[in-house]
Order: sequence, then C-alpha cells, then structure tokens
Amino acid sequence: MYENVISPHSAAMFALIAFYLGSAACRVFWVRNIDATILLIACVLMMLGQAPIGALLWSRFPGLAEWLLEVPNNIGQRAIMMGAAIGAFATSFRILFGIERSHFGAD
Amino acid sequence: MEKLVDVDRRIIYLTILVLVSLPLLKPLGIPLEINKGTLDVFKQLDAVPAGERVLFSINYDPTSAPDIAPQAKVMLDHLMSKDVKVALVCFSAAGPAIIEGLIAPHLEAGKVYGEDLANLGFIAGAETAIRNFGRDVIGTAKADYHGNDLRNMPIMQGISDVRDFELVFVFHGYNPGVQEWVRQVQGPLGIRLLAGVVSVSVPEVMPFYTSGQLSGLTQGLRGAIFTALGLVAGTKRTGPFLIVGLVAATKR
Repeated sequence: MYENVISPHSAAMFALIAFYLGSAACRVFWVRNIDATILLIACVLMMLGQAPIGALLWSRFPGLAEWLLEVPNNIGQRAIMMGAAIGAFATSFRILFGIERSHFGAD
Repeated sequence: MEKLVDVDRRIIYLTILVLVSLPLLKPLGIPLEINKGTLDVFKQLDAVPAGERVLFSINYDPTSAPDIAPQAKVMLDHLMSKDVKVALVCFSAAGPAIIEGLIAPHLEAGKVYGEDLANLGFIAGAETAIRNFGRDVIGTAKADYHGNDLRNMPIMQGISDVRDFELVFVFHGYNPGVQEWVRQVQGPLGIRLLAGVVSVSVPEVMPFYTSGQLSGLTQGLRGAIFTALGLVAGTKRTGPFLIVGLVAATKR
C-alpha cells in the first residue's frame, strides 16, 4: 500500500501544486500597485538567484537572493514569530483570568 | 495587460509542463552554485569520526519526499561510507516506512542492523514527543520499529539524552520539524543541530540558521548536491557533471 499507492499518489499531488502555483502567480503578480510591484521584483530576483540559470546570466544573482533570504526575510519571519508568541501569551493570560470567554459562548 | 491576466490556464499549464520537461529530457548542464549552508553541513558531517553516533529525525512523508529524500539518502550514504553509526527516528506516521527504505541498501551492503543502523520508529505526540525524546531517548522510544528493546541494541549503548549523539540532523518536510527541535531540544540542551528542509520551508527556517541555532542548513533538492559527487569542501562550482551526479543520487 505504502510503496505502490500512498507514495506515488502523494508525489503526484505535490507535483501538481506547481501548475496551480504557476497559474495563481500569473494572476496575482501582474503589476497593479506599488506593493505588488515590490513583491514581483523580489520574486523574480529570488527565482533567478535560486535557479542555476540565474548565475549564468549574472554571477551576483545568487548572492542577491541570499541577501533577500537572510535580511528582509529574516526581519519579517522574526516579527511574525515574536508577534505570534506575544499573541499566544496574551490570549492564554486572558483565558486563564476569565477575561476571554468567547469559547464558552460569551460575546 | 488585462489580456495577460485573462490568459487561459491551460496555456499556463502547458508552458510549465514544457519548461519543466525539457531540462529533464535534455539536461542543460548549467553549473549549480553551492551555498554556505550546504558547505556548513558538509564540513560538519565530514568531521564526524568513525564509530561515533548521529541521530536522523525523519520528518517528511511521501508528499515532500521528492524534494527532501535525496538529501537524506546522500547524507546517510556519506556517513555510512565513513563508518559512522546512524539511528533514525520519526515523528510522523509515514516515517518508519521511509526509514526502512533509506537503510535497506546499506543493510544489503553489509551494515549490521542494531550496530551500524537502527530504525527507532514513529513516536506519537509531535512537539511533546520531541521534547521527551530529547531528554530521555530510550525511556521515550523504548523499542525500535521491529520491537527490539533499545537497551539491548549496541548502537544505543551509553545513550541517555540526545547530547550523547555527535550531532542531530532534522529532515523537515512539515511540522513537527525544525522549529520544534530548536524550541524543545537545541535551546535547552545546547546540542549541535543541522537541518535539511524542503525549498518552500527555507524562509521560515532561515532565522534559526543565521542566529546560529542551526549549525548548517541544506535547502530542497539542491541540498543533495554536496555528496552527490564527493564534493571537496571549498569548491564553489562543480560544473555540468553535477547534474549527472544529482540525478544518479536521486535515482537510487
């Protein structure tokens, strides 16, 4: 079951994601405003930095992609992690002290 | 511009299919860059002395296997070639079968189960299980995948907590994975932790690598390149032969 059913089917499902991602990216990333433009530029730089053909076109693309990952990405990721941790702490505190009672059906 | 937005999705699918298939059918032979995280992993794995023990945490399933299984394969191959002993554990239900597939070629090649390799099986409980396993390996796992008592297995002699392993390598396809290992084990116990992750998880894991909590980080399928050709540390480019080596590594 694992070798002949689960494994190939799961791999096929994962591979199909590429097609849906490609289609969704085409519709979302068309330049509409300044935010979409920044996202589009970052995505293109990242793809060129990660794909071997990027280094062939310009040797600095991989370094640029690495910088994007290690600086702007890290800033965002750390902010999300710290924000989520503080949020979880605050929500736990509210539940423990009975301030948050929506899970009991209260407003 | 609107016409571009309204393009038929079948055309997009066909374009992707062609662009993905062409390099597979006729490799372009473009040199691959090897990043710092991969070199860090190579240096640390290569420095493990023969006879020492390493722990692999296999946290992926068949869905993410195409992206990450080649990493696990080449790294296990590398450690086996250096006579390093490897214990493999997993925290996802599909893990034991994956581990059996990973170790089978080495057992056929003459490695001894229980001495050189061990499948510690699936431990239920996700993050809690990782925490308990980190602090008391044998007490948490108790028996291997085949029901053998871990206390009687040579590879587990002298193992109390995960600090007794030379290093721990987490292969991360989904949670529980790197974040749980860092939170519950690496930080409190101060172990040397390496990680191999699927490409899509690289951004969320990167903060742990730049902070030094991860001593090395391999990224997606490209992470498998480091031993595919017996790469010499310090080499920046390995040339078009790398593609052949990578394909050979993934086909096995």
